[in-house]
Amino acid sequence: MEWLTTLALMLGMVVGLMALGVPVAFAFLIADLVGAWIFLGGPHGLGQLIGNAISSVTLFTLVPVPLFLIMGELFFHTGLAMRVFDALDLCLGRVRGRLSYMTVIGGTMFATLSGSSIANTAMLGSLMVPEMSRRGYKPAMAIGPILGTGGLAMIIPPSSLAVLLASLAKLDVGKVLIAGLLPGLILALMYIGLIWLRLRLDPEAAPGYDVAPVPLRRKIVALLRDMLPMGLVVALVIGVILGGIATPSEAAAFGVVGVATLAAVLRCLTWKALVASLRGALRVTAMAFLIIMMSATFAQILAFSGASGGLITWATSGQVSPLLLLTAMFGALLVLGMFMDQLSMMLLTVPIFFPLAIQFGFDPVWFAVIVLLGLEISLTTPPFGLLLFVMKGVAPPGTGMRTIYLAAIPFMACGFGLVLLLVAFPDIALVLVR
Amino acid sequence: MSRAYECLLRALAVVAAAILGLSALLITFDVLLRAMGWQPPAHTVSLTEYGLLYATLLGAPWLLRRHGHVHVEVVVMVLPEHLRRLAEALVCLICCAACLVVVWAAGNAMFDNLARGSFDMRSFDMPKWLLYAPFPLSFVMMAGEFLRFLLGRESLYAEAPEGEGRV
Repeated sequence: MEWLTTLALMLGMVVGLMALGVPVAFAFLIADLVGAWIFLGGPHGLGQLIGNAISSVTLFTLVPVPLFLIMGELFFHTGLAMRVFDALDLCLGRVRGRLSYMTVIGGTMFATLSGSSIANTAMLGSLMVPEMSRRGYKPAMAIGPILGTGGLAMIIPPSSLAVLLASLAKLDVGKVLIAGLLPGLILALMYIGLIWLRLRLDPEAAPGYDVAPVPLRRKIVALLRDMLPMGLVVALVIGVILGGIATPSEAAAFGVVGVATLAAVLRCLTWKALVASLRGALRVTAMAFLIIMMSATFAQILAFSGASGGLITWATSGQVSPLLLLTAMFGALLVLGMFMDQLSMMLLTVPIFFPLAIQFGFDPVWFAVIVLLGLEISLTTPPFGLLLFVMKGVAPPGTGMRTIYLAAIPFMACGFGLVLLLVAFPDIALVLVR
Repeated sequence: MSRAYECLLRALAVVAAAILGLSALLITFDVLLRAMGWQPPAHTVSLTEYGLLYATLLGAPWLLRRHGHVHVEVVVMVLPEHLRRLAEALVCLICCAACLVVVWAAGNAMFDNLARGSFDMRSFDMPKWLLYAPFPLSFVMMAGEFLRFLLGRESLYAEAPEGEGRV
């Protein structure tokens, strides 16, 4: 059982250092330094560690990450996001629970553009919660949809996290991006269904209020001017990947130039917005890629010391059914998500989960969507899910954590429902990539 | 001295951000040329790949200064104040030491490759030492930042100035 010792040592070191408060990138670095010294041959191992770090990020498949981020940041900083939201507001009219629906529809659109769940949740939260509480919405109708929709950014393309996952698991980035499209849209529809059902059962959860009538002409103008162009940019980015016309990196570059051009045409591209967007993209890129570089040797040590192989042999030799294995892996993600960020979770689990999944005959692209869903759900899993705290930060003063937990649970259940659907009908994820 | 260091820290971040922006333009230019039937320059892919390495390493010390490297706070948060300070000092010390080990290992590898004259062969031949070169610079600056958090008043865990940098 030597592999078990190695596995426990490596995982234990990373998790222990993280618990001590060591920044994630450095927790991986320290564990790798120790591991490389022991398993890869002293000073020579350290040289290899640097070499691995270099080859782990000099990959064209990772280029969409910073580019999707710039695209999303531009979208927010130039004010294009607000235009889309306002147009949506005009079009919804007097529907009961309109603010909840608007959160889901607007949030889904933002998700397609931003690719960052934290940013999405924070923005929707600060934008919608004050208005919803003013209109007497119950917390379940105000906070729930925001938590649910915030996480959609991870699944619906273009998602930076999907690119990272595909790149780490050595899968086709384009396929993983596209595979998330249908499940993401289905999840959004489930959220809308949930809100509708809730309103049927308890109409007072979202009191109706009068909205000044808007002439149809104005609605059409708003749609054509503020929503259609953004929709076209997104459709173009997804479309060229889907059609195999361009690589995801090229599509992402087009997205950046597309959003920038659109902002310039609408006269909202300022130097300040440009600088803020690049700065925002650099923050996330440097943070995420440093973690990837510093953990590059982690998977290699697991493989080299026989830990990965040992685990796979052990798992395949017993009577473990594929479904049980999937449940165990999904459960592990949810537990990790209680105290860890998404990227660290991916880096810790990808070298172990993906070889296992392939060994058990799962389609790796389908499995990637399941993992992304696991990451998304774990973000809102009480008691420590990250989005719950983001929500607490932007919710009105006096909103307790209990209220936030209760609001999150039905939307989490939708996520679980989707996972079951995907297990029963894998084609939901795979039909577009075949 | 500290002013000059501050300027360097920011200048490196500006270069890093510019690399990201230029990558988008370069790739778009490349695709447009190809679409119009012209021969695009052959180096775009390799240049953007190396760009990711440089952008990450040049931006990392600035990000550390701005509290942008993500950490787990659930466990540390429940510790009493004096233990928390002790843990933070320990973290800064370990991280500083780890950074210096990287400076040493990457510096060694850099001089090694410089002496051997080896190349990283992609669409053009990149001298290999140039790939190792940003490591000592970036990590010596990060070691300095950890030391600053250890000895100075500012906490490593202070709130990030403009939201947290997370994916």
